[in-house]
Amino acid sequence: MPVVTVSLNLAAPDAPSAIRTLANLLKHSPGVLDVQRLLTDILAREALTPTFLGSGLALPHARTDAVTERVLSIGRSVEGVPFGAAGERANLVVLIGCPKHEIKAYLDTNRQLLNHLRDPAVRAQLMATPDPADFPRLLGLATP
Amino acid sequence: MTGQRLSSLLRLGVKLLERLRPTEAHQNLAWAVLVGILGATMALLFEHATAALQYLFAGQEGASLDVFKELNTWRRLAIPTLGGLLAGVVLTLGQRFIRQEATDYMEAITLGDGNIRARSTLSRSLAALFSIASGEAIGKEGPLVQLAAMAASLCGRVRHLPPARLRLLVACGAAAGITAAFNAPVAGSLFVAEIVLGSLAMETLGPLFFASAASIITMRVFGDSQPLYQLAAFHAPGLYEVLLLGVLGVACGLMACVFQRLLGFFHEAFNRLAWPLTAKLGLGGLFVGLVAVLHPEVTGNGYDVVKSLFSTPTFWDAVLLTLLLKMLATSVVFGSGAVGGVFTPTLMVGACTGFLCWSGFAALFPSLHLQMAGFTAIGMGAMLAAATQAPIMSVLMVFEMTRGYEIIIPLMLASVVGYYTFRATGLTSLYTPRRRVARDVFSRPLEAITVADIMQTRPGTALPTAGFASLARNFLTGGMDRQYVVDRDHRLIGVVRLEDLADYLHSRSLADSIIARDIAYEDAPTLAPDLSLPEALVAFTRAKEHELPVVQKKTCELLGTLSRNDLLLTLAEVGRRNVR
Repeated sequence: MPVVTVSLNLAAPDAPSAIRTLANLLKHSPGVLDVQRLLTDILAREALTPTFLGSGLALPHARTDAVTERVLSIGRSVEGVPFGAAGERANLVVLIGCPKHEIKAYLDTNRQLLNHLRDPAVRAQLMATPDPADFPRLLGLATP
Repeated sequence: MTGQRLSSLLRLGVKLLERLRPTEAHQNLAWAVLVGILGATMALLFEHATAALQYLFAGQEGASLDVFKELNTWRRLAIPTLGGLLAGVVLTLGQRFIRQEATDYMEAITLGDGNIRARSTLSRSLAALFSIASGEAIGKEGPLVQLAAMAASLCGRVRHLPPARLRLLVACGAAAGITAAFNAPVAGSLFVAEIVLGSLAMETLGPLFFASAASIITMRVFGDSQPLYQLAAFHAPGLYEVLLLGVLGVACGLMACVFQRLLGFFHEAFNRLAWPLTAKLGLGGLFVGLVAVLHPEVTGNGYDVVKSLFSTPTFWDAVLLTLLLKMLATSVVFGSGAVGGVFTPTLMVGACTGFLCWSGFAALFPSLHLQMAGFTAIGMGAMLAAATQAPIMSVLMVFEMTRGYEIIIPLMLASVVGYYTFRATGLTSLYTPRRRVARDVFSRPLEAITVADIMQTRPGTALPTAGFASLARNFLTGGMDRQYVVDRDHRLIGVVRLEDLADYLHSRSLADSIIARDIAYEDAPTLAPDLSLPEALVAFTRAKEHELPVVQKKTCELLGTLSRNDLLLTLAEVGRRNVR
């Protein structure tokens, strides 16, 4: 199971600051070697192509040597953070860091997340729940 | 088109592509169909050109034999001679194009590595055109096959197909050509499989069948679709008739031997004559013309003769004379250096032999009521089986040409007998090239072939920042399911797989969010360009992929890709040549 941190009330004026906030949550997490480098890599990737997915979802990510295992930092914002190229707002931001060589695990994680996040019921539950422990469960990341 | 529509279409396309996953085998079949249509088109063009040229020479249209019968003495003499001279001129001028590897008889094209040079083929076909249109005793199927094969080769080279697949495509072209020439799709495929490729494996037979089918359908749309020789009602023969047909098989095997010797004799004779090519060809034409003055039936490839054997009652002495003159004329013409096919003349010799046998047996055993049509048709098959040493093709060819089911069993019997009789004489098949030139990659010993020799050199690549639209488009137009992510120095970074891209098709914004680098597998297994083929096979077994990139060891530069199918095809062909 990947390392998961959750921020129930993400407050950020734009995408880079949202990313910065979420990355900092991982500063003391196991598996993170260098938070600064993780942040740089994710910001660089975001600059290439915005990772806004529609339906209020954003998936900023990077495959980086700064982590030794998969790390996720999820942020929820009711007002939304501008992530899209045209300023579309994201209510759920899932930041992913993945070791460079674990492409298969990275793709599987993405696939899993996308499958769950596509379901409006899941998204509604995520937006409503007060318990951060619900997030990994709802996204299929928890080990049963 | 709006960006949204385009994106939806691209996503739909990738979704379909991922579901349907056209494999390389399916692509080969699609190419085979295209090449089949092209081959039939070339055949139709050549037929029209021949008819037009014949009209120009003789001032009349119609079947070659009928036309020649109408001509006066002077023209019967002049036209073949003129045709020979013109053919000679074309060949002399085209000498710098024409490669020495060209086989004697045009039907059995040497595939080599699939590079059929256009200029060489066109020169030889033009020369053949002159020879055939002027009535010389050679077959037109040869140029038809060559032109169809050339068209296929051009297609394959434009697409940068690697050697093994190019060879297969050219074989499909040849099959299309034979099919178009004889209206015989099954025999056309088997001709190429048995004589040209020497293999009846399904990887090759499948595309060959498709090409032949496409060719025959095209011919039916634009030309006529009648079987070449209409066989009168043939009843299943009784035991004695079958035995006599077996004797016919022996006779055909021996006659094939005689024909082969005759061809060889004149080939040597003309070789010793130190004249320029044009003069030799002119001499060959002159000979045909002289004979044609008295016996016009010697002109043409013999198709008319066979047709008349089936339809009008003939006397055996007339047939014997025609047979001898025809064999002589064909041998002289080929010996003089004319370019053309020996297929139809062989059929004619077989038909006449069959007819003569029938005459003899019918006189000896009048109570058996032997059938002339059967002997004639089976004579063709047995002769063909003997001379080409391709019995399966021969049986099917005659069957397809006559479309009489009752003929198959005696035909098989006689063909096998003929095949073994000819083999017993120790001569080699008509289509064995006299000069064995082995310059292509498949003729090298296995140890001397490397991955670099047989790989595809234009792999589908993408930059790391390539977006979904560009990746999708490449997959859809390229027909492959792997793209190779390279940096600006063409060094391999990773591999993008179609099935991974397919995960992102759900919505437009989802699709638009990825770039190649996100989903590319780094550390994918690769092949070194200097790897031997057995080593490459081991690599494929370990990697469990159907395609591997070929990467320069030191610089990591992407040089090309090798598909497992191409590797297997190459190994099969190299193995086959080494056994011979």
